[in-house]
Amino acid sequence: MSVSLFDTSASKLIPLVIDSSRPNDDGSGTIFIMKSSDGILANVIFKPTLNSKFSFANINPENFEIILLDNPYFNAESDVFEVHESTVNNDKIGWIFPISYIDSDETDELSLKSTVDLYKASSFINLLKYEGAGMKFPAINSPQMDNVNYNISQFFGDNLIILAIHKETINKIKGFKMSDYMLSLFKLGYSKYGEKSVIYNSNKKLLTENLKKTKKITLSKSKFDISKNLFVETVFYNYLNYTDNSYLRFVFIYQVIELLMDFQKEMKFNEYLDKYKSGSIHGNDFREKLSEYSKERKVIGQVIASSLRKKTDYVDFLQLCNEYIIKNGGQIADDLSDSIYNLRNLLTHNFRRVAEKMEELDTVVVGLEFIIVEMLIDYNFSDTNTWCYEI
Amino acid sequence: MKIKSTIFDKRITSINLLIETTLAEYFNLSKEILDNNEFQRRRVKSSSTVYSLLKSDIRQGCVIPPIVLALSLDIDTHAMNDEQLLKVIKDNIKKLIILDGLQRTYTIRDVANELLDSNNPNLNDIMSFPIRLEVYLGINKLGILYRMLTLNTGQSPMSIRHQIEILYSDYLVTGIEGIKLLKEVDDSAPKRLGEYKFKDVIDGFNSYLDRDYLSIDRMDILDNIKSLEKLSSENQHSDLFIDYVKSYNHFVIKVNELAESWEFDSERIDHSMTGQPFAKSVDKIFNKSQAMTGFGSAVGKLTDLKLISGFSEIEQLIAESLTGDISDSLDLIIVKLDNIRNIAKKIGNDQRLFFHFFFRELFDKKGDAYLKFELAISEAYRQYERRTQ
Repeated sequence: MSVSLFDTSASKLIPLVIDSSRPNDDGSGTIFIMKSSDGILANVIFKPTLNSKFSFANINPENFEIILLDNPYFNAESDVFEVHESTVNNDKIGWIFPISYIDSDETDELSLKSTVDLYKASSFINLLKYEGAGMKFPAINSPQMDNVNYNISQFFGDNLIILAIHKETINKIKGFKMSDYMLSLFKLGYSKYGEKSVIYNSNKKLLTENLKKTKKITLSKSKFDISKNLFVETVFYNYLNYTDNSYLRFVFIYQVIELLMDFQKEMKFNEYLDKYKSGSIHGNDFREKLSEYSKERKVIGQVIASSLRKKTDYVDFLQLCNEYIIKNGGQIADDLSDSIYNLRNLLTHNFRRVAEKMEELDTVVVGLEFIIVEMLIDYNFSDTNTWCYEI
Repeated sequence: MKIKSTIFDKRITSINLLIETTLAEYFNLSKEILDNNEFQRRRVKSSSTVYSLLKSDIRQGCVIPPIVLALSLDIDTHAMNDEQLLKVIKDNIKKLIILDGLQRTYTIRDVANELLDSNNPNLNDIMSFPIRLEVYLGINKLGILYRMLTLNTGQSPMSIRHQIEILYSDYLVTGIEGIKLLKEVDDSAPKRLGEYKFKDVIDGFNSYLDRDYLSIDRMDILDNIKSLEKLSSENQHSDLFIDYVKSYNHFVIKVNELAESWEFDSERIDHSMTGQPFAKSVDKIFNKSQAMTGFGSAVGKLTDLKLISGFSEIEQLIAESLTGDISDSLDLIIVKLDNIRNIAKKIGNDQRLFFHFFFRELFDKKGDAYLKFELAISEAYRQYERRTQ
């Protein structure tokens, strides 16, 4: 696979392959000479972090896999995070970093403590070998200007973020698929490269403060596989990318709750039907249970109970949501499910009360988006209920 | 070697000598040139077919277009005869630079080496074939740069940065009034005041020429030429590169005096550092490329805006007007750079931007932070945030 360069004079993609490599003049890095079939050359330079003894002879890029991401909130050069996975004793499975980190040779104390340079160099090589449509490439002159070295970010654009994972480690995780971890990445503002961040955050600080301190991401495998449900997948990858408008985003994201509510009702219906058929409960009890589970407020409560592990984690959202609802004429809620349902009622039935103050809704909807993503990750979902994956 | 023609180039105020010599003589000459200027040594990889054809043509006695050399010397050639002019060239071979014809030079050397290695009986005949050289004698460095750019148009272009490296590489040996320029080899990091990496100084000077803190190699020859034309009027009476280096060094020395043995100590400040400090001493802050490029681009911009007259005015301001204890300000600079490291999309570039704003604020007589070190830092950071966040 090859990197392609876009030559504006020829208006065509020029595939390049690695021709050779050599140390640069001062020995601080390695220059990879990329060549096209027309003889066009481009030098791409790699510099390891200053404090590490480094050699490409020790690198086998095949041991690493790269996933290309985007994130408008964590794209500073120093947003370099260890990536762990919750099921393998929180072992490190890789690193996530912006492409500017690969270009940089700034003194980096991270490399003193870890093998991040291995990931950085392997990502560099894997990017040089990567062929992908829709990437941004620089226009280069032909012939190549002597002594000019390109940075890899000039081929892929400044916004690219790389998740580099160690294959041997992820092979310890049974049935590992990256798509199972996308929801976990969504929570932190990561999205597939070239797509907008799923979670919109008007207040970047809320999202970034904690992660910038811990420098560690723990990915959780999502119990709900969104790739198997076309509707949910469309909500995340399509509808939420259409708009930054909080009300519209609420409408889209609440549909996920509606879907989970349907699952819950269906599960409970089948559960009680089985009990009725087996004689465990009588007809009146059966009818009462059905009636109980037709109340949306109750069903939302069941959905929350089935999904969110520690409700105390959401105290801040509960407070935020209550404040917003009370300010707009609603009633205080005692728990999370009530607050979500109250919010739903306010926006569905009394939107006119909040229409003039949309910016106040932003933070609330962002909070809700986080919670819904958490719900999908942790949803206590039976694998036998495959009908949930139908459209 | 014989001079066949002498013409005065009025554009760059230098004499141009058309010299006829032999391949053998040029082979010996070129060895000295390439050995003495490491920046000129790079060879461009070209099509093997074309390259073989050229070698074959040379062996058959083809006429090679004149190779253009330059010799930058402070010398009055008015009254010199041909013999004296040739003597000047022969006495200063080590200072010759190839303006145009580097690849032809390599090809000639390859032909000669192949003939020598194979004990070819035609060696003497071939090496006695004539070749023409044009030598610009006595021109200033910017004039050479201008000539290099115009001559290189359409061929494998050299970046202006590379050309500046070639031009000023002799200062690696001689230094500039006690200022030491260090090559990029192991264990050559600047260790004391007055020492700088040659590469970083080139970056800074390039930023001055471009008025741009990001020393990106520009591909457009015309842009480079236009910049040089603008600068040529500045370079009439002095060497801008020397002025740049000296004024920057004076700034660093002055700051060091005012700092009174300042050394960064994280315990002293009310800020939790997120990583290693940018530097711990004055010389280590200001011997970095980021500070030098910021200085170069800022002075360039201020000159264009006619807020200063040039490096001479900077020197005066540094000597007479930078005063006061600046220890706290230096702590502040380290804190601001730490913040930048935390939020910058590209740390190095953003540091350059910060230093650009810092020097602009410090030397902008219309600004509130004029000659006020601490205020210049705060204002620079404010501008940096406004630009990037």
